[in-house]
Amino acid sequence: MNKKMSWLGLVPVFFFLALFLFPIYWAICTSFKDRIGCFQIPPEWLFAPTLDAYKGVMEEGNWSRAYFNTILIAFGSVFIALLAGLLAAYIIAKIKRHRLRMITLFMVIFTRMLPSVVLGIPLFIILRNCGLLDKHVPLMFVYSTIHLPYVIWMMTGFFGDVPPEMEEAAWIDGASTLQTLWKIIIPQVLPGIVATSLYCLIISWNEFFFALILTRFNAVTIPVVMASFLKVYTIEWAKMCAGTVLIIAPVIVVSFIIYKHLARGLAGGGIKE
Amino acid sequence: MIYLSGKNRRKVTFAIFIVPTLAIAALWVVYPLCYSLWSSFYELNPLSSSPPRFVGLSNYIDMIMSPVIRQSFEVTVLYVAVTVIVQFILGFGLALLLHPFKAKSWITPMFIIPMMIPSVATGIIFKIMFDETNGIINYLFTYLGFSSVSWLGHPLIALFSVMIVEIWQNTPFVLLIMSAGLASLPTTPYEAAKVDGASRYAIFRYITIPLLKPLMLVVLLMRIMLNFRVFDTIYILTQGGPGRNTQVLGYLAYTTAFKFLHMGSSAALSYLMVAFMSIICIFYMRITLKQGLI
Repeated sequence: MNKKMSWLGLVPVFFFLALFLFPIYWAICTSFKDRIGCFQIPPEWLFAPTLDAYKGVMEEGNWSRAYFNTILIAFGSVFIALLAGLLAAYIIAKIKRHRLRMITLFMVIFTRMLPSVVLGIPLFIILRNCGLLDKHVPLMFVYSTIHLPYVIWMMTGFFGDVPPEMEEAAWIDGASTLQTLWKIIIPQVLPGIVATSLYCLIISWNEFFFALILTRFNAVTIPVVMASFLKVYTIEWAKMCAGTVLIIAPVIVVSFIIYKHLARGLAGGGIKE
Repeated sequence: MIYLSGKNRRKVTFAIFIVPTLAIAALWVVYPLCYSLWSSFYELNPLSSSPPRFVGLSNYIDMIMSPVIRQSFEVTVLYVAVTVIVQFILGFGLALLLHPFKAKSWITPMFIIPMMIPSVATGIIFKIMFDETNGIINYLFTYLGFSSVSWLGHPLIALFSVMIVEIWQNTPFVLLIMSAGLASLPTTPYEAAKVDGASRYAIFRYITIPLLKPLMLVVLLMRIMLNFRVFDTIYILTQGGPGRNTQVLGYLAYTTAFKFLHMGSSAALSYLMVAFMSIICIFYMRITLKQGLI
């Protein structure tokens, strides 16, 4: 109707955008303040930025090891999930029966909605009895069980989009299933694989509960370390915020990269293509 | 002959392809789930030297009769109800407001940040902001003439504060999905409605809403299931307190197992959560399948 009036609709949008981004902005600001200035009232709006907090948090005993652990475990778990998931997704995509898709969907939803604690308790006991607590590889496998349903779900969709002609051509030429998959199909769905992997990396990065109960010092991850910082350094706000910025920066970058794929993945099949 | 053996060979390959996934699932999901179920019938303390004691349904009966669990259940239900409703209205509303504009292609990505960052980070940021004496929120409140609030210390307000964090963190989820849904709507009904001279309200109510209904239900159910699992923010912000006013089921299960070392009871409680979750899961499946969304 009224072109000028319709711009009014954006006002609440920007208002809420400001609300949603303010805490991030505030955390970034606080991270550049010094030890006293970070909790001054009234807060310092204009101040000389300093990197003291960043230096302080990175020098913390567990920090670098936890950062390294988190990256390692994230990549490891995604690697495992891709290895197993790509194979399984290929098969599910080939089999045309609707039942199988239903079961896959159910597995995806069920595993995603399962409260972590119902798996966490037995895993703690079992891993403890095997002496596998606080080790990287078991945690990678635990995380892979979170990624697998998602990888299978997304890749089944991507594999289904590949035109069958190339596959058939490869089979007629005598290629084995594995060769077909590796040489023909995967190059075609590579963007999908990358997007799915990046999303799973974020999930690993953010994961807190299993890391909390299954690690101590050796394989501890960044979220757990940050949580323990909160208990020890309750008033070192600048340090806490510096740590927070260092945690969320990679996530924000990767999120923007995979933004287009997010809606499709999150809805778990709820959006008609 | 050769054709047959090729087909059989393919069948074997197919079977082998599924094995890694099944193996991982069996070892790391199915086995722990069964162990959890088994341990819910025992009194289990892994750090004590005495063996687990079989108690039958005792854990479950204690659970049903326990006022602590009942309170936790009420807290969780209240938490889920309020946050899901607000997240949905706010997220859907923002998606609708953004929809007519081309600018949404760069505005919507900016909204997703709260959703993607680790919940530990969210907890830390809000803990600092909610601080009673030096927090920025109370500063703004006093600046505007209101009195400062004990966001995390007051027994009634603490739950509200935690809900605010949840709403902040996951409204973008609703926004993102509903925005994608709005973008994928067919244009023909709208053109026909314009020709017929329908009002904007009528278009919204009789075209947009019915077309979006399946997606709306999917999003609602997903948020219910995901908000039900809340743990990280409670752990960071309130640890279930003050008293037990923010002790959601997930957090209670954690403390029962790892603080009080009653792993059998905790397993029983977690299975209660699974049961509840499965009911919602089934609704979700039925709707997704009925609407042909897979």
